[in-house]
Amino acid sequence: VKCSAAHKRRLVAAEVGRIALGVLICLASTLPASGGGNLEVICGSPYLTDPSCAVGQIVDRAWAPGARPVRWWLNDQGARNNTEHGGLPLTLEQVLAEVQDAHDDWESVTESGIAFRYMGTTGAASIGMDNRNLVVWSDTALGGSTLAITLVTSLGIDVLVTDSIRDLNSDGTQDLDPALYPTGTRLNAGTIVDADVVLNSGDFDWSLVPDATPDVCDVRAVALHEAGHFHGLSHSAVLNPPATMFPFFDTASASQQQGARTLEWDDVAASARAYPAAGAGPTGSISGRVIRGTSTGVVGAQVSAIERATGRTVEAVFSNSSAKVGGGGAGTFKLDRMPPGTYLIAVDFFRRAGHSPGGWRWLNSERIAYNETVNLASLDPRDLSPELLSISETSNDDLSAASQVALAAGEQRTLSNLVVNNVSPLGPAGTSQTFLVDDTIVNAIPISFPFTYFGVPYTEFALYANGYITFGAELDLVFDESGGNFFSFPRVAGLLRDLDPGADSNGNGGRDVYVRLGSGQVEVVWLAVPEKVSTFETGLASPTPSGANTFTIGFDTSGKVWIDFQRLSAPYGIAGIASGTALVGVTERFDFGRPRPGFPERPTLENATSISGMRVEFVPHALGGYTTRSTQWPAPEAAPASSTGLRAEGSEDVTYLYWPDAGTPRYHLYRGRIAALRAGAGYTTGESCFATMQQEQALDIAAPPPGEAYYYLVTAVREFGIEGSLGTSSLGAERPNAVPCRIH
Amino acid sequence: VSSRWEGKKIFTDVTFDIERPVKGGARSQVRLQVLGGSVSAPVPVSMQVPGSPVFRAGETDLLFLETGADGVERIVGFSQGRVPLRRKADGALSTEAGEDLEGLLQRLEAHLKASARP
Repeated sequence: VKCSAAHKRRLVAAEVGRIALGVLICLASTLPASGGGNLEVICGSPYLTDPSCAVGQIVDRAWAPGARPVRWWLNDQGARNNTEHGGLPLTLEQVLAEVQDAHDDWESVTESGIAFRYMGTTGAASIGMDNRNLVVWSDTALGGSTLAITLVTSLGIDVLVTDSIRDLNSDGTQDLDPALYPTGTRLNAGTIVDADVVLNSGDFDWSLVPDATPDVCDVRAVALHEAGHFHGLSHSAVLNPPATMFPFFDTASASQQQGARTLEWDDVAASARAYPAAGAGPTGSISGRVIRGTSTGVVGAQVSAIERATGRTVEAVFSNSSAKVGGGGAGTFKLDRMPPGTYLIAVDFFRRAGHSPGGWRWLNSERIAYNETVNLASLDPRDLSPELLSISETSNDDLSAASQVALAAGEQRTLSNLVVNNVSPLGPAGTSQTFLVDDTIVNAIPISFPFTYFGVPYTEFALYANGYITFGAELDLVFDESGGNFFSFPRVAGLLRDLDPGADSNGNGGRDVYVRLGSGQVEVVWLAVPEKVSTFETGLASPTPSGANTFTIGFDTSGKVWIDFQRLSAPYGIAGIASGTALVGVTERFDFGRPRPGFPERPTLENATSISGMRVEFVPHALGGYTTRSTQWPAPEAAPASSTGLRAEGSEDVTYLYWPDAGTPRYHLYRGRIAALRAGAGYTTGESCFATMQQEQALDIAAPPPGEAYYYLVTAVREFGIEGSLGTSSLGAERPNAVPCRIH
Repeated sequence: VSSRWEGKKIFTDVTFDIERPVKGGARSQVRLQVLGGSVSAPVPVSMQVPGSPVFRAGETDLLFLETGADGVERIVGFSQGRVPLRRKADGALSTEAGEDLEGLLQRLEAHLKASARP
């Protein structure tokens, strides 16, 4: 195939498009009001003698039974001016179908009793309390980075409906419709009486499918998010995977929009809490209390349930304020509407200074508006070290094994207190404290047993503050610690990251790296070590070291190497082993997550909980390399689906390959000669592993021998090197992957 | 900080005393009208845009403002254009992330100078 001029232009355009991914744009409703749950309101002075809440107490917002199904209207202009940012014209019927589908998705949640009723189109375009719940596109109402907002109006006190009180703002019109709220109806504080959705048609165009054009956004995904607010849901902090109610997504990422089209369990649970459905599935609950010391409740801590089998965060809530009506007191939490399963329980500090869950560095504490509970908390970053509920839960259990909480169908389970960890944890027993501070090294630590690493015997190792050890290479302070240099030395990295064991930001006085030199094994422990957050990453000139990262590197006489990730808060980093020869096949590396937009060489840890609590072992094999195995999640069956849609376009000097985003951090690209395949060689044998890619495209400048042709196959590779299938052949048989690519 | 009905909507009027202008004309005060808020009369009603900033009297913020196509001055990107500041023990202001305000302003001013170049 000759490379046409048009094809060359396409190549250029693809590169520009890649650059554009670095611009994170726009976000439904912009900000997380809270980390999972329902919108709240603070009660005013009660009118009734038996009020449901006292002054200053906190209640959830929800529609009253009489107002359900909740009525809504669509402005008759639809998605106006939809061709200014790369979009296509949309008819009113098309956008109506999308918005209706979004409401239907919430209705179809069996655990929730919420229901909606579309009332028709209207010429009305203004929002506010007018007894008409409107969905409208506006050119001017929103700022340039905001996709959409929902304006939710609710009562601040209990009301006994009479004709004299129907006009809530004294403007001469009835705000409480007699058809919905007959005289004598009691409406409690928090009752939603009006809600309007505004989508931004001035700064964005809208599409009927997820669209990677930067200023074009999927109607359905955003409408689904706003319909959540519409019935009283707050923002969610669940990122693993992102809940629909997570407040941000990149409009240049079709996969993020696709993800937002699907409700996660955290969304379902929040809706079910407010509108419990009769006959819903056999969900249970996990309750407990976050305390400091022996009894002081910790308010506003983010408590998450992590599914043991997959590492996914299923649900997250905040620990309650004592002001929350029905909340159970300060520090209590209830993960309710939980499906049966086995969970780890994580406690975290949502308002992380300097960075935030998932490496969304711009989602820092200055940019978060809280719900009322968290507003009252006034937590300081030092108040809360991220941790998992341990089997023996204490204030000094950073290295203890995580407790696996089994929840049976319908079980209402109450846990023992989750004690916030001491910010000055004790060093582990049997270890020696090192004197590592920021960017320092301890060289020539003797090993008392023969240790062979990638076939080479070593008698000592060197220890580095930034989360790794090396063998046979004593490096100096100017050593290049970049990810690109990872393979240049025999190295084991637990968290290759700019860590600062000497920082006192967590109050422990620094020197947080410990060594245990046993007769048959060595362990090195980084205990609650903060990051030295860089200006480059945060945009801050002098960011304060923050977070707490606890992990252990170990190795023993058998040659086995292991890394225990007790609890990480770093947004990303590199972990794994390297032979120092950088040879494919003898080097193992895994990263925590997918590449950050614009920084493919710096993978993003999507959520610290995606790896915390996991052990990864590297077991030597006969060929001198290592086999990787995880003793925790992800489960082996969690391999990604086979990647489809590989396309190739070529010229005499280059072949351009591209494929759809499979939602995985990596891809393996295989190349072989068709003639060899016909001769009986299997796929991936012979000339095979062509590249390991972090992007959905590759260039091949090689040409097949005269008279021959290449075939290409791509597989999706999820975290920890778990690879998807090569797919099936034209005969329907699974293509065996005889010689899989090794992550390098 | 006070909230009021204006037609069918509740707005919160927030008046800031400007301690230090960084860009734009010098003003002693700026008054913003933020959609949403809580009123107690005639009936206590709360109107909320999830994600919109909530202000309390006595707070100190670094604000990024823009005038929209409708001519209304507003905070850029809802809460994204608001940087709450806290006063440290030595009296200096810093962000919640711990960056000194002076350092942040120096970076901003450097960025503004760079942006102003032809």
